[in-house]
Amino acid sequence: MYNKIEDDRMIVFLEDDLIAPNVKGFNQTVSDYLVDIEALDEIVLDLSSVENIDSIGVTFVIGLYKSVTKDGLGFAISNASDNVRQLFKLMKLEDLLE
Amino acid sequence: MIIYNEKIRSSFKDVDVTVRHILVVMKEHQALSDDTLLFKVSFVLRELMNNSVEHGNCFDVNKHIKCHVAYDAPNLCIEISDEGKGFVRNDGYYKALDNDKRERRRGLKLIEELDFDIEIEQSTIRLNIDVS
Repeated sequence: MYNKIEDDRMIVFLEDDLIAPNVKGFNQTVSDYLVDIEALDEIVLDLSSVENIDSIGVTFVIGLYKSVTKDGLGFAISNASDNVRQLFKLMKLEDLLE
Repeated sequence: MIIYNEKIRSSFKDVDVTVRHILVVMKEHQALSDDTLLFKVSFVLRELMNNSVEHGNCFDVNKHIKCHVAYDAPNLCIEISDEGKGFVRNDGYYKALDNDKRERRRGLKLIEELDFDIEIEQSTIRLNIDVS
């Protein structure tokens, strides 16, 4: 996982699948990213490298969404595959998709 | 045709390794190599076996999960068993997708939404999907 700041948004890139064995590491890394975000307006989670996903991975996304929006920032998912997008729609989470 | 029939240890890592192996075998067969089917199978296998790791076997790596996947055209059959007390269909795991940002408990309703038929018998879950 790495991030890139573009103007007032932070783009967080996942380099591994969004699945249970990876979520603990994602949580640890992203919590470091969110320590100093006062200057930002939005966090974008880039899923272009994600091929596989499970419910625990989705839980990570929802937790990140809740954490970011609680702090008054916007949140969006970008570059998800068609299959991931369809899954998020089935889960009624399409409003998170950019 | 049996695609996979093994017992695995109760860990998320073992689940991941198993699912990746099953997907490789499926990709070798034209009828099972559709990207969307592979994505669905990956998701439901992870859903069921992660649930077995977490709830059925309570993260006890000495307990096992039995995973059986077979193709009998046009049906793909998945059977997952664990060493837990069994599945209660009317617990929160089966609640409808009536709420968008709950963090957990989506489970079986979502699997049905992905076109799988579900049978439950104590601690065994069988899924069927027509892949024609």
